[in-house]
Amino acid sequence: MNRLQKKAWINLAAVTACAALAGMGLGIFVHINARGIDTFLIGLVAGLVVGLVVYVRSVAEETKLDEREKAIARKSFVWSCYTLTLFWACASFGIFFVVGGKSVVPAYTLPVVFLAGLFLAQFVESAAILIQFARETADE
Amino acid sequence: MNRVQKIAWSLVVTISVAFLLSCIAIAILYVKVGMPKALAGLGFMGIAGLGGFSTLIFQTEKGKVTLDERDRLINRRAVLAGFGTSYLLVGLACMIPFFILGPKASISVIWLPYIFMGAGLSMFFIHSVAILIQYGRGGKDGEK
Repeated sequence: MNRLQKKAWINLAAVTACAALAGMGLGIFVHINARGIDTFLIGLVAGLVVGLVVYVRSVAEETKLDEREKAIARKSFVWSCYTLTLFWACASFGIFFVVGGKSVVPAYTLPVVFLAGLFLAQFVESAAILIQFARETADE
Repeated sequence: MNRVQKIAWSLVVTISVAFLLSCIAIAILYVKVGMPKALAGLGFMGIAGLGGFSTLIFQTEKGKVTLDERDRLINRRAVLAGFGTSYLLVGLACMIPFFILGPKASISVIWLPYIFMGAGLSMFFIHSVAILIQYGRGGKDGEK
């Protein structure tokens, strides 16, 4: 297993763990009805720190990839962006048409859709990396 | 100015004009009829759709090289900037109501497609702005 394949598996495990934690956190927030600008700022800072760590790690790791691995990583990233966009479009308009334009939905629907989309995108990116490597190995 | 720059300019102009007219219309209608009828001013955002015709108006010149390595690199960076910004906006738009209103509050279902369409427009706008900044202010073939 090469560097990029290991990274795909690690990212998939990490995003699964984060999705589980986020789901538990959302459940707790809904249960205690947490609200207010201070709660939002705590969440914002936590999200920005996680995002910064992920970004710095991905930039550092990309420099260690060779051209073939970069091409595979790039294609996988494009597929994950398409998946995320399609998921959010289907979720947004699907909920709109199913419940009706004049209805209301609980406020926690928005973060659930957002986090589910991110999880799906990472799943597709990791799967695309592993499938592309498997196809190249099979061709050899 | 190459074809990519012309398309980017047309998208920036149409989206900016649509946004500006919508804001003015909503402000005027808010004074006259109040919310939520003032949101009818959002109809002006349809003008942004005219930017979609730019690929038909600015056709590829036959026999010319369409995109070289530099153009591809510029487009790749612009796409990253556009997607990154739109994801950030969607994240904020999803999390802010959750924390400010509270998890047990309710929101109108119309906000879901609004957030998605806003993210899409911001993606195209930032993508076009990033292309124009990287190419410079114009000139033939991106020369300053």
